[in-house]
Amino acid sequence: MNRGGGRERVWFWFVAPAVALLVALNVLPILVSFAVSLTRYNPILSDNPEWVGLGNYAALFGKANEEVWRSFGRTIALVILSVGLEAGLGFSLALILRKEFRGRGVVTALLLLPMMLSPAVVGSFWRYLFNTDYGALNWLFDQRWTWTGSNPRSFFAVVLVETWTWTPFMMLLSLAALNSIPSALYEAAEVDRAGAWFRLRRITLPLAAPLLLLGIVFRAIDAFRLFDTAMVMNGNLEGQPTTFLSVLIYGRAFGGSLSLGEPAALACLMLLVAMALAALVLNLLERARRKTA
Amino acid sequence: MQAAGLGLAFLAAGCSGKREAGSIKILWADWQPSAALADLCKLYTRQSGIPVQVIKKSWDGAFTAATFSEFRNRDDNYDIIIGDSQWLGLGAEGGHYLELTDWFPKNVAVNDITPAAVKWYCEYPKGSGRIFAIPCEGDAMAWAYRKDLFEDPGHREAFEGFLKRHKVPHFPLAPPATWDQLRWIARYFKESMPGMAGLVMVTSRSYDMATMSFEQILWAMGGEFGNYETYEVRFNTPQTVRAIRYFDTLLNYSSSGGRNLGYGDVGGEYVAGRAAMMCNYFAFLPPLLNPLENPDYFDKTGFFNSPIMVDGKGVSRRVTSLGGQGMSVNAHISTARQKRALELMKWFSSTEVQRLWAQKGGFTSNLEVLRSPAFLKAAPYNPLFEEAFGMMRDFWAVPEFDQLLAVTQRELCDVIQNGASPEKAAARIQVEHVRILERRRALAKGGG
Repeated sequence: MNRGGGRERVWFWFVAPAVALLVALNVLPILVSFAVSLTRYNPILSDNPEWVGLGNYAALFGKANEEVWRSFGRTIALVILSVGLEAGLGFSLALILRKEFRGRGVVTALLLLPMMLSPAVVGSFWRYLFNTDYGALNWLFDQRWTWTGSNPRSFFAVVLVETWTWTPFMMLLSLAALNSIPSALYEAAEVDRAGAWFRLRRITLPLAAPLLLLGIVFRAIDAFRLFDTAMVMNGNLEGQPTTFLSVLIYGRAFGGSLSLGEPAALACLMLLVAMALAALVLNLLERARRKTA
Repeated sequence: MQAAGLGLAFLAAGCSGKREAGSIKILWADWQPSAALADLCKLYTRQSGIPVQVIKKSWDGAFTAATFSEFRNRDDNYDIIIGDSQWLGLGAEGGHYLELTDWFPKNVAVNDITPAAVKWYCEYPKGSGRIFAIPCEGDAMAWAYRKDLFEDPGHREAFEGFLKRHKVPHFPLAPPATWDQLRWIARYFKESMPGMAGLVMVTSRSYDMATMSFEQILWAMGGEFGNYETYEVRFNTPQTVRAIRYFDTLLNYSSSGGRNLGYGDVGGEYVAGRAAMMCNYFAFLPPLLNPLENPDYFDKTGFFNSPIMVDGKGVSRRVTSLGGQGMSVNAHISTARQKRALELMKWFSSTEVQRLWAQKGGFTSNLEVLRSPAFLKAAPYNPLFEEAFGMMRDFWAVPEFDQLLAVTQRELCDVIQNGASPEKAAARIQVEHVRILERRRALAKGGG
């Protein structure tokens, strides 16, 4: 009994630091943020938050806050476009890299480079590449296009940068998924004289789907809260094509005089949406897994 | 994740260090006036033995961040803060600026200061008589123009023909008397000189830029943001829509990037010889007369104040956007430091020192200095500055100014940069301003 109790105590002490960190850095701030979202609070004006209940949430749904919904629309568009492109390109690259060829390891390692860079660094150097006057992109097309700020192109510039950065991640997951498919299935299909399209549709995609979906979930959640790249490339001004929800929240909370109530409410709503998104896709993932099993 | 981030910031924000300083530390933006003030304060140090340090922070966010951080942490890093006129409400209501209502009349010759300066830089709320600052750098928007182009006989003749072609009653190619004249002149240069902009104005989405250029047209057309005493928003009116449209059409005669220019960019376009006229704050005008900073046109530059706008009913108005800053004492420093800071401010506001301030390029609000022949002759724009005091108006100076500004900037820039509808912009600004000021309005009515 003593031995068992000792083991349990050891178990507790191994787990406790991680749990404490999680509570201190995630759970507690979320709770504080939720509490702030129920108040009118500007620490510059007063140390005492004023209770407004769900007033801040109601204000977000009012006609006087259209920018929030425009920003939400931009964020969803970014998620669909960038994650769609990343999944498509990543999977295609994985199909190519699955085949044996000379230097495959080097090519794979090089392709993984973008996702190893810090998003702030990525944003900074792409900002130079997109520069209207001396950017490499305009030099390549011999144009003076504006790729940043309030120009509609800035949205597509961020989609491009996101795709460039995170396609390797989808490629890596796809590669893992493809390698996990038993080769016997392909051999059997070959015996049955099944075509490439049939093999892709009936063997590769269904069996790779669970891992692919997992990647899509991760990326969708990540893209939904995109902040750093957009912020570095275009700043946090309201109404720009790259003022995504995270950027809007930051701008409203910390860009001016620290009126925190409404941005906190928006942050909590955003967290709920991200959680719902994750739950939805995880559910799909589970269904796909069951189907495959 | 954003929620967690906000919460973490909230928890972390409580930490601040308190420090007693031996000298007087002044926080201001990093620009020519702060360099002039640092220079002037050397004299104070010689006279009083108290070292004065002017801490300069860049306009692109660092100055705002340093000030608001000082406010938020109730910190005592700076003794004096020379904050933007729009921050007055935040500093006063938050208890960060020391109230000077009693001190002011006893230590500053109030009658020597232009009433407009007291109203816009010192008093909060407007009309309350409560004072939180003394005027430091007066500022307003004005225009610079290329005298060599305006006085060129060839251009004068061509301009006459241009007006005839467009069936516009004749007026000379000279500093414009009305906004319509200004628009025709800008159009003439834009159409007759390839690569030359008729005008450049500050139009960037950053901070307050496009709004500051626009609001002088808004007020001149009879529009307004609202009532600064009752907080009633009166933005969505036909005058406002006309003003937004007018501003938008003016920018047709700007440079190729003229719909997104910052304070510095405007001067850059002018100095590069790519604009016939430029509109900016007085504080940005002195470099235009400096051969080192404007080598090609320093001796070919003239100035004029924002012109008159005549509305459809024949009513004429002439307004300029107020800029500049008041000088306030940090309320979070010790009483001894407050006393020391107030002594410096008393010294600074004396007529003698204001004279020196003006000599160093500072824009004074002291009536005696403003009207003195020495000041009026010191620079070609000085008489215009004296005149501008009668034309100044400011944006909302309430603590929510940044939210009001963000909305105005967003919608205004959507019109001038992305072709959005002026009607929709005016309606959106109205709705959002009403929401932002809702509580303040209720309190003013006694209902909150």
